[in-house]
Amino acid sequence: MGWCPFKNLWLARKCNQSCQCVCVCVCVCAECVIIYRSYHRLLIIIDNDLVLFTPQALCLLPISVCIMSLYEEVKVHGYAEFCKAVSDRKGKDIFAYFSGDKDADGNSWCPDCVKAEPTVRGEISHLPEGSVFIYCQVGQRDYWKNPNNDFKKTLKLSGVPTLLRYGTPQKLVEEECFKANLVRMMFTED
Amino acid sequence: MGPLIQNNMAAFFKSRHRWKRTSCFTILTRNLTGKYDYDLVVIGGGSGGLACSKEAAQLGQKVAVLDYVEPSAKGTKWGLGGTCVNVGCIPKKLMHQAALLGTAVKDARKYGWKIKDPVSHDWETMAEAVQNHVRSLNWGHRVQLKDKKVKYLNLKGSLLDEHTVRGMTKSGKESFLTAKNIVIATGGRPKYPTDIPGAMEHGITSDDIFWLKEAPGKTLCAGFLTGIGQDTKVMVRSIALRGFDQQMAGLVTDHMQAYGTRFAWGCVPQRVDKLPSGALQVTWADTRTGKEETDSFDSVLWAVGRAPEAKALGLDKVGVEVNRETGKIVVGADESTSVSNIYAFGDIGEGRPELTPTAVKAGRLLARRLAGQSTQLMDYDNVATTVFTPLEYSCVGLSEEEAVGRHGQDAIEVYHAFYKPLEFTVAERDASQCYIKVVCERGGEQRILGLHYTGPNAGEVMQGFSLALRCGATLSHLKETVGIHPTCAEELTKVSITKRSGLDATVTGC
Repeated sequence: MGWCPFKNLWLARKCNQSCQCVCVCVCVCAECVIIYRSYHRLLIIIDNDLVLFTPQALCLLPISVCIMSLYEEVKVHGYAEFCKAVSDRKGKDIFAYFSGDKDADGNSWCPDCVKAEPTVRGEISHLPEGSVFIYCQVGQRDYWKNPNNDFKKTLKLSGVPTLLRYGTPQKLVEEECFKANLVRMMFTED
Repeated sequence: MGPLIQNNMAAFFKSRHRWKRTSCFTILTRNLTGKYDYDLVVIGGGSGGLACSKEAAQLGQKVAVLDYVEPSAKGTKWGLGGTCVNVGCIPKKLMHQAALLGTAVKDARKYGWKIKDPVSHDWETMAEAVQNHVRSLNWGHRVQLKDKKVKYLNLKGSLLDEHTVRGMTKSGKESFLTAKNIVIATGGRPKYPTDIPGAMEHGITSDDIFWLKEAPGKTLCAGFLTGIGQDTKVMVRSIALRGFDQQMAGLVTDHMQAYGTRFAWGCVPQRVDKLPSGALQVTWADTRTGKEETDSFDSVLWAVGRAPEAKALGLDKVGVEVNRETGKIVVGADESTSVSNIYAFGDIGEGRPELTPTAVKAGRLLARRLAGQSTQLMDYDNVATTVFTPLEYSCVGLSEEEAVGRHGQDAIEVYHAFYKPLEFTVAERDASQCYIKVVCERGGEQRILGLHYTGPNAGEVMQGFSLALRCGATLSHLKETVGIHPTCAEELTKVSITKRSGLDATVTGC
């Protein structure tokens, strides 16, 4: 069993894609999808959980895997940071999720945002390759309630949570974000 | 075994795979629960198709809708929603509004607004805003379909047999769906003249005009363009607004001429050539003078009628009867075709009005009937409509010609009035074509047969009156109705001069 993380793999059937620091390959068992990230660690993703194997511990047992979406997640807080994150990534497919601020314990003042987040996170593996996912906390409740805040005025957001695809009319607002099938549709369909 | 496994062993033996989805098609096998893959498959994702499929899904049916846009000759294509959303009602009204605002800006000065000359219009700004709105509607439909659990397939649908629909991708890959009932709502597309060399290569249609990236410039045909400052000429072979009340059509065109659109009456285009400069040279025959004329234009827009999207459906193979002359599908009062489980409605149906609201309503009623929830049929009578020409024209019921044809000149009475919208006074605008006509029976209660109005906000004015017609309004109902003052609509309640009397029908004062 030869071992080489990039392109020269042990019994791998094909090397599908590579980008910067990862290389995605299909194992000969036909059920493992292996993502090589850096030279010495092998990542296999099982049900959104990352399971780390050292090369020595690698096994060829058939396992269910989900291909890690090769997307970039950016966390921002407030309108200025959001705009900067967008302008730094010109030309990319940007998805943005707007949520009310979370407190020190990680709880948001916006109950719908609390409800929607697990659903959105649950579909995140379906984001297209090379896309960007911006998680944006908009501010405190008082800031949000003000109808002249930048998000409402300039980005034309009407409520939180909002999930949108920047530069397109594709957007899901409030209860629409509770529906996994709608979130998945936005991430996967053109 | 692997020492760092945090999940339990069960995870290793899960059989479900979730691969990153690339577009692939699978042949759907027969549903385990029923005989067919779907209870209902709708071919066509326009106003009618979407309304029907959403209603059916809400009533518990398993529904799929196929929508596919064959690019226009110029290569224009668009998303889900059909003609109305993408290349019809919506962009038309928005661009019409752009033109009206142009006129309003000019009027504004008379009302005291200090607006600097020259006021110019930027096509790109308007087009982008309109196109963005249309795209948000495309998205809205996608969300609705997904939410209502309607399967949406971006495939070109055709019939294989009475229960099988073939869907084809752009690249030719096929897939098949079986359905208990099939509904065809594929609508129509603008016609290109077939006998004019250069027509298709160099001309555009309504499919293209709303998606142009640049202003069409000096154009042959299309009214709203004058309002946004484009040099426009409309060429008419014989009559304008065929099928509509011709007196009203005349008022509409008179107004357009008065406001700067040039008309070439009785002219038949013969050829279109592209000049080295890129401009289009059109040659036409003027039937009134017998002479041949030419002129050059930046754009040539064909608005010579619409043809049904029925040719590629495989209708003859399955035995669905089509009207030889029009190419539309022959339908019964319940939208049924000659094949028992296949239905058709909307623009594709023979004899049906080519309007969104009728398609939407018919689609919903059809869905209810197919789900066994109702027996109600669509009522296509007394459907109000509006033509959004620069001077808007709305009507409900019969035209004067139709009323005379059905009842005879002696049995009908036509009340009419030329009025002036109050807003035109200060703006010093010419209101000679603002006109109202009430066509009613001459005897008995004098039931109203048709109402016609030209003037501002024609659609808004007529909507309420169409309800009146549905309730069987008579002339006395109309006359007993107290008008809202000052409006244009109130003039409908004040008509008193008949055409028969020959008296001057111009409204004077309050």
